[in-house]
Amino acid sequence: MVVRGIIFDLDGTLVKDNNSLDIFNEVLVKRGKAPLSPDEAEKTRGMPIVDAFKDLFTGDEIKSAMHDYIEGYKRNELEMEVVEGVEELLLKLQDWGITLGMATNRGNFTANLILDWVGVSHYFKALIGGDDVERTKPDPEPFLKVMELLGVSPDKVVVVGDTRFDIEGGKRAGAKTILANWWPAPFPGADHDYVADTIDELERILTDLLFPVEKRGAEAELRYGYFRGREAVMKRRVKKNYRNESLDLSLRKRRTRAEARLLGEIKKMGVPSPYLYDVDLKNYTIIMERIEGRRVKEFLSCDAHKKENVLREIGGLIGKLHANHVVHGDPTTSNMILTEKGITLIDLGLGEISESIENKGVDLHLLKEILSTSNPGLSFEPVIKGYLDAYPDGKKIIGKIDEIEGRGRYR
Amino acid sequence: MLCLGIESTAHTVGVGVARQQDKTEILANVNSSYSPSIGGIHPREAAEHHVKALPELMEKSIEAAGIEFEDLDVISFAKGPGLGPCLRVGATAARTLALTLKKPIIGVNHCIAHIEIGKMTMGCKSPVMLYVSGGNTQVISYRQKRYRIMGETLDIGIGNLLDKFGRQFSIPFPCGPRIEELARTGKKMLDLPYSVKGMDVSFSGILTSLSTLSGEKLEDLCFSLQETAFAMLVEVTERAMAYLEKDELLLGGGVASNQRLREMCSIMAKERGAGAFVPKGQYCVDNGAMIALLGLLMKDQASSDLDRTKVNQNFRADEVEVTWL
Ligand SMILES: Nc1ncnc2c1ncn2[C@@H]1O[C@H](COP(=O)(O)OP(=O)(O)OP(=O)(O)O)[C@@H](O)[C@H]1O
Repeated sequence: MVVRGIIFDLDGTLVKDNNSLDIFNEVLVKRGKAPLSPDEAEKTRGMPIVDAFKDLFTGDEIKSAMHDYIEGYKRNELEMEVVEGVEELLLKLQDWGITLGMATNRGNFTANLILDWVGVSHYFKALIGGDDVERTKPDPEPFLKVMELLGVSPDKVVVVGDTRFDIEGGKRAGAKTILANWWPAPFPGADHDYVADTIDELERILTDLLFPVEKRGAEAELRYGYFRGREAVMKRRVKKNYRNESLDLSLRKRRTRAEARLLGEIKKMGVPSPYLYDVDLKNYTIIMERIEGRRVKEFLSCDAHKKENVLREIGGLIGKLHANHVVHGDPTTSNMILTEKGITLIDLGLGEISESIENKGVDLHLLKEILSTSNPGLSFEPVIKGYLDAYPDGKKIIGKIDEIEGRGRYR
Repeated sequence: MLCLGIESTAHTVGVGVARQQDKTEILANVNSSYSPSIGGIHPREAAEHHVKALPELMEKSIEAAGIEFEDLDVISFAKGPGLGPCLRVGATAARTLALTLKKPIIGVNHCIAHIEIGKMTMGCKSPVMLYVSGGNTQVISYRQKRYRIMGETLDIGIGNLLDKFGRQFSIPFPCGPRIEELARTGKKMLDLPYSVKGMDVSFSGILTSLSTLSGEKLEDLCFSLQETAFAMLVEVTERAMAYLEKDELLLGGGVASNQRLREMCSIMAKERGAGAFVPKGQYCVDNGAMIALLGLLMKDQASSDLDRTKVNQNFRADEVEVTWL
């Protein structure tokens, strides 16, 4: 089942708290106790504060300690920082239409205060704190409550947290779990489904859970998802381990950039192409409109009738590109989607802006080759007609095809 | 059914014998290569070498196969693509033999022979073949009755690129193995033109660019050359596999002996969940056995009409209708 909601833990997962130990220790010192060393404090990580006080105080003292602690929070400048990259991640998840919730053992008040303080509270649709439940994490109760508020069933939820409390609780609530492993002291022996050592890794794991790969091209993995409420395709150029790493990085970056840029350019020319929604160069990813239809490749291999019109239309689109000095770079029939409204061009990663007759000629040559190899006997004439209609100056390009064909031959 | 095949498209001349009974097998494969003292291949000198070498190769192949000339049922030769003078040596020898023995003769396509010997010896069924040799650089696969050329070089072949580069930097012929050795100690990745167009490649930019990088270490030039050019080849092969939805990659041709190229092909195939097949050295390079094998497969088209035995320097794989699959 595909994940639709994510429940985050707060402390240690999304934010780093730099002075809560000081505030905690202030309360202890005021009551004549020795302050906790950072090592000792490590043992209480993830525990509700009130439970930590329960180990040290009895009766009413627990209550007044809690009171002082909250007052301390209100009084002190918060020294909170968001783990680096969290805001970008939350923004992305929001763009992708994923519902976010929070389950923390901290009191509801301070948790909200912190989220406001670091400026990310608006990303969360629901928050359950330690004082909102009968039994805190590792009990499943807080998670189940958040799920109820989010309206997402446990099998569609993933829990992200940095402690055993999150992993155990999430698991018992029926969700998948990811251990956020960026705390300096690694958390021992939790029975998590996934572990992320960095925010980038977390993003990758979440992407896989949210949007499984639907298609694999030669270069890219395609996932279907949403972008700000619209159906979208995420195209990620994946690492190729066969090639030199620096070459691999530069090719993926260059092509992602080229594709994004050309998608915009050709749209302006009136050539049907997916709307570009977002580019994430760090992940070599393009998010674009999802085009519904059948690839021309499939169409040509089965529909005998109406072929000529489609070929003419193909010629017309490539002609329009060339008239505007854009070369597609990989004009194969698998990069053309036949929709109700006509043909849409995709996959411009090998394309470029070029006035060169040579480059345009090669583009046409590629189209001719793929048509003749995959559909033997198909006439190229309609393509040329369509091409010249859209690009009257294109005669010189047509003339180039034969020359190009002659070159690769054995001499 | 026994076929003797003669290969002589470029600097290798070879004779092979193949037999088809319950199964098809290679009985003999003997070859001899001409290596120029300086520079690249001189077609005429190579042809002279082939003329001298052929009689003995024929005797040897018959001996190795444990048969007599009279046992042969059909004679085949490589009709092209290749260098005219070299091709004609093989064709003439085949014609003479066919006439003497009164057996039918067939001229076959050299590139298809590479595919068929690869398929037979490696046991793959419907591969995409990356065929890389001196003059040929093609991505070929079977589709609708023919071997289709899905991609190829738009200018020079990969072997040509290696040899031309080698000559510029005084690397002895054949340059491929020496470049591979030097590349092993190269580390610095130089920026060379990476030119992939759909399933086609173009290498001439790399050559030009390399000759302007004279300040760099030869090891680094070799390393960068291989990394760039081979990545281009593997990329277009992968694109063809994705397009055709095929899960077998077959490597063939002289450059296929390069370990780095083999490694890159294996990694690519593995990551796609496909199989990579690299024939043994003697069946990767030009050889007589593959011509004999294809002669057997095409025996129905063999005839005694000598008009059909003209060589064809630009013979393309897709000109042949495949009747044996
Ligand atoms: N915007 C889109 N809407 C719908 N489907 C798409 C879209 N973009 C791509 N696809 C589908 O995904 C497949 C692969 O996409 P694309 O060609 O962009 O990837 P690629 O890896 O660059 O492919 P290749 O290099 O093999 O041509 C396409 O053939 C098409 O079926």
